[in-house]
Amino acid sequence: MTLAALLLLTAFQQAVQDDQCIKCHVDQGAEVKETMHQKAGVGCVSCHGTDEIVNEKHRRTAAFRPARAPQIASLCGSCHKGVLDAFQPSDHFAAAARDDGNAKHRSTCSACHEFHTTVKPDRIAILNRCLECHEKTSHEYKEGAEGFDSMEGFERTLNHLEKEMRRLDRRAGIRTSDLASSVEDGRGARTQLQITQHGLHWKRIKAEAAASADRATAAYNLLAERERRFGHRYFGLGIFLGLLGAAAALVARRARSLRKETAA
Amino acid sequence: MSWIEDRTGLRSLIGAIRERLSRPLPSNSGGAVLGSMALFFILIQVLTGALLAIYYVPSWGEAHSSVALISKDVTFGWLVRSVHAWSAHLLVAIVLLHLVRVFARGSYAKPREVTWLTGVALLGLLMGSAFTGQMLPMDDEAVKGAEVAAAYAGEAGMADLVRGGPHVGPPMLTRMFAAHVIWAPIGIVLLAVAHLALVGRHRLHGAENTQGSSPELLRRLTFALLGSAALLAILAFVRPMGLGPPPGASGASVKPMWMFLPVYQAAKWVSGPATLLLLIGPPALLVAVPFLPRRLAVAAGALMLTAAIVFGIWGAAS
Repeated sequence: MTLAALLLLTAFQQAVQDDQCIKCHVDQGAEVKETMHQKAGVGCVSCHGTDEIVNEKHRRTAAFRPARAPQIASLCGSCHKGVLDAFQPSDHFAAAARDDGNAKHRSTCSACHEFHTTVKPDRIAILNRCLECHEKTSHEYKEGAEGFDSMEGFERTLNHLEKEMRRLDRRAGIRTSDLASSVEDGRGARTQLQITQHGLHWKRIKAEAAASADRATAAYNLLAERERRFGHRYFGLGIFLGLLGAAAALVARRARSLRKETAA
Repeated sequence: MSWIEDRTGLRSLIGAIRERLSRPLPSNSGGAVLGSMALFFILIQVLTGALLAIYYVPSWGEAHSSVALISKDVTFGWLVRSVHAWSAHLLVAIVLLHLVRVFARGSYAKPREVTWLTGVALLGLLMGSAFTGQMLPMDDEAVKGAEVAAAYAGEAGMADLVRGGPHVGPPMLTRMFAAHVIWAPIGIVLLAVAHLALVGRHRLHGAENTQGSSPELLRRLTFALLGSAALLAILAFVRPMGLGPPPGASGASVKPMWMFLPVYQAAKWVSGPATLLLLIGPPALLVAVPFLPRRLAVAAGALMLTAAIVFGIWGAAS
């Protein structure tokens, strides 16, 4: 109860403060509206600073949190802990931490993520961002693109498996219960890869994506094999109908001879 | 063999059955096999139902997964469940045809009024079994159907009786289960025995004075039963019964089983006590048939049959 009340209160204060910001920053207000961040109670002050915001014309802008590259990562990481853990050992993090004013070294979260709109960045957009610093022929770019490719391949396979499970779950005669864990494992692997990709260890990512894709394919093939095998029931039906036909023929013969007896 | 015969009289029993089977049939007895087919499907229901009861768990939380286990994991579970479900459809369809034929030929008249009444009661119990059985898998459709049925019963002030509480919940499943596996089967078996005994007592309509044995009966009966078995097997193998998602998973609207479509459609136009009339009216009319003048009975029966067909098709298309 206390926790719920506290959360409600925080969300309420947040909304009040956000309203004050949005009065002037109309565009940003529109960007954050209904986003995941807003719904989770992450308002303007969560990232841009707190104390100095509430004065009338907020002249002391220097007191706002500077949106410098190293701070951004730790700020995001205060909630997205797993991602920060994966990101910290990477070259991108190290470059951003130098904070030397070089535009190429602003390779922090905001380089790929729109944190006002929280729209999930699509991979093509990210690869285009890579090209702002890396050559298309560079090792880094090629590795990243290949890593994305293998992750995408795995996700496609997992989607197929999920769709097939949904279809066959409703069907009789085809066992699916033992493969529910395969789907769950696949989902877990997908989430894990989406986190570990921030560490830029593309070789490991490619290997893990390929292994996960293989496991999903194996489960998919097993389902297909079970469906094919269930088709064999028609042989059983054929044999049964054949037996019924033979019985009918016997009865017809018996009835004929009975009729002859009765007539005689 | 004589040891068994001395103690059980099995051979004389078989002899009596053979004698009964070799009794003459009226020349137009083609449709009289409908009753035998119904009996065949009842036996199939008892057998497959007993097998399903081995794995079925009548609990609100576990029913769905136990039916999934039967349909997907248990060896030939899908076949037993499919045969049970399809046989239920065929059983009610055959009994309705049987009813229409007996009605059309006026076979319910003196001295067969009680035979007719036991038949009407059997139809009611069989449709009740179909309804209660449909809820047991506890998939989304079954629970939504139960809610609709409870709402109809509510119009007649019987909602609590059907649900066993203020909402569709665990007590309703327990009620449906008890009705499906205890109350209805006991009633069906007792009534079927009485129905058959009465048919034996009064003979088939039109066969009272026929002499001689009838190889025709053997032929027709066997063909009808083999045909029923073939039809059942084809339906169960080609269209095995699947299982919908657990309750609350989809927003699809539900329609009742085909046999309830006429009432479902007609109930859209009435509310309150009139619903009660809709639920009680048709069975009451069937009960009254043998005691009405033939002309009145024919007129009422024809009207009811037409209404059932029209409302049934309308309900299916709506």
